[in-house]
Amino acid sequence: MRRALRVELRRGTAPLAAAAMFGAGVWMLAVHPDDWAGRWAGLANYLRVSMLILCALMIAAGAWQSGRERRRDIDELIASTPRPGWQPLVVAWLAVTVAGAAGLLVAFAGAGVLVARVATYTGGGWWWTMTVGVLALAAAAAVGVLVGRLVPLRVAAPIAGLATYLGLAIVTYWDGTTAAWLSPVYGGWAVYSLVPDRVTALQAAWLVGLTILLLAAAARQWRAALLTGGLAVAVIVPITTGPGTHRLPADPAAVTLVCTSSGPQVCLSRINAFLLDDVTKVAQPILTRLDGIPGAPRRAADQAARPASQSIERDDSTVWLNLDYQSTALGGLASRKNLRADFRQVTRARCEDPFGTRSIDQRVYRTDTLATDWMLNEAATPDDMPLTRLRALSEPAQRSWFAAYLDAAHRCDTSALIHLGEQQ
Amino acid sequence: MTGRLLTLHVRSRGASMFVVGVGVITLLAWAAGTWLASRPYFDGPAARVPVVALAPLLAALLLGPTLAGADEDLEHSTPLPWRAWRAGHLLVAAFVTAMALSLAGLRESHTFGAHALVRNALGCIGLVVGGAVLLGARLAWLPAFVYVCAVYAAAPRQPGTVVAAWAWPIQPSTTATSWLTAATIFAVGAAGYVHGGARASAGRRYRPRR
Repeated sequence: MRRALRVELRRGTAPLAAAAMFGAGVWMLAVHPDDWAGRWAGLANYLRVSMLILCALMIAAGAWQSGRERRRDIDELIASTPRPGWQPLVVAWLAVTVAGAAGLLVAFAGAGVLVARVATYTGGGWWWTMTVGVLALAAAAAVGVLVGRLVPLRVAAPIAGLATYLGLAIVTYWDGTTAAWLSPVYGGWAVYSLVPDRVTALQAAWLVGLTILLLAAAARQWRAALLTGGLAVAVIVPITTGPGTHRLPADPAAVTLVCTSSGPQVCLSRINAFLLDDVTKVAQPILTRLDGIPGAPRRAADQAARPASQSIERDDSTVWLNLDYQSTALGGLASRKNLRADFRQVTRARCEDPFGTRSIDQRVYRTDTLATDWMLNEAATPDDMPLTRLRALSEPAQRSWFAAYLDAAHRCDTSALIHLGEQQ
Repeated sequence: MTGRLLTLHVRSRGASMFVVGVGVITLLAWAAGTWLASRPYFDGPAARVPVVALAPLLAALLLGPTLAGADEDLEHSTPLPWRAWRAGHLLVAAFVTAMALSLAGLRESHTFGAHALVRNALGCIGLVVGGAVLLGARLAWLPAFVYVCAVYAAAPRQPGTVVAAWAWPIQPSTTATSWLTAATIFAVGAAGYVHGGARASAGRRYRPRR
């Protein structure tokens, strides 16, 4: 059995599967480093997001491997040997699974090295998320083996792969349906979201049951198929009757705040704390500029740690920063511009109707832009006369103008906002 | 006589399975396109890019096995005008595929709808036919599958003439360059196939012993 596995690993579809999974893994990681960089939970979640492509590849590889005997016209020859029919099938499946998983894990291990350099939070059960991902690859290879056995077409492998991609995409993008937990693909939720342990355990049991069921069906071992089919159904029931994928709770340990000890306070959640120095360099000069102005925020904090009951718009003392996609592959800040743009919530005129629709006079927008440019200390263009005139005022006069703006913006006093804009 | 030959040809190439497959793909493409366009969190008919890229690819993959008979060398030795037969086979298949798939995108046909489906059907069929000429009918699916999947997964979303030329499967149908590339691929693939047919499988080719 071990020798047969070694031969399959060297000469079957396995080397191709390993290369394809490694290439796909590298490509997936390179496309969106902001999804995983610096965070173990992000890396594990991203592996599960990537399952949309990776499972399709594994199914295609399994189908190609399984159809080999028919393609080579040796299926009858192999059937005539005294060896039990399930053994070569299981060896072929195992070879594809081991090779595919190894290829992928090598790619993700490279990303893991980058994460390990900077990561500031190691909890959140990310290890189990990744383990279930590997089980999903084994299940996908088993689906492929069954397809390859049942469908006598050379194009079975690519068609099965494409069909898997489309099917998984539909389940993933379906509005929070509980059936989405049956799919190994994660919907791309925040890295600090906590998938309940119960769901992870049930997913693992479901994928193991599905794998054995499919292999038993492919090997025509009907008793084993019936048994594992029963197990799979028994697991499906609690998954599909439980809560859906909407509103996952935040991991309390991941969103514990880590703050600066000097200067205006900047606080990031523990999972994003590796960005603290970079974020501080951007946020503290702005907070220093606002220091002491009535109605202006006194600190900047990670939006991941914002209590669900607290509105971004209605909190005057804190600027909430969105750091979900703000990391480069090496753990630096991805976009200073986007981070500075988060400070626009300070100057935003609160003029929504009860439905949250904003209908604001263009002149108010111009004053809003003027106040934002002053706050962010943007360079004035030659034709930006209002900002040039505002800057020409004494420092106390500039600060009192900004305080008057914040007061009017918070009350949505349109006439006062227009008047403030026309003063400059 | 020609009628009987035609029946035999259609049967030996598995045309019925191809037609059924294209019908199923059309139905699925219509359902998926309608579902994607109706999701409030996507941007309407423009969200049908996956359907426009993958449905013609699936249909073209099904065409691959029909491009050669059980033994190409044996077929070539028969006194039939094979170039005309191959041209007819390919043109009918392309017409059936394009027309069927276009039915799936009639709603707002200009925004990743019927027009783009027809263009991609031509391009993908061209790739599959070219694959049959170079690799044989058994592996004809490989170039189209690899190319379209790579473009779908990795093409930049920014428009541009060069991008429109190589990433034609995911361009809006209003981009003339994408039509030009797809039509060129179809023409080159078709010319190669009509001229020489699918490459005979190496394992089945007769090799005289020395």
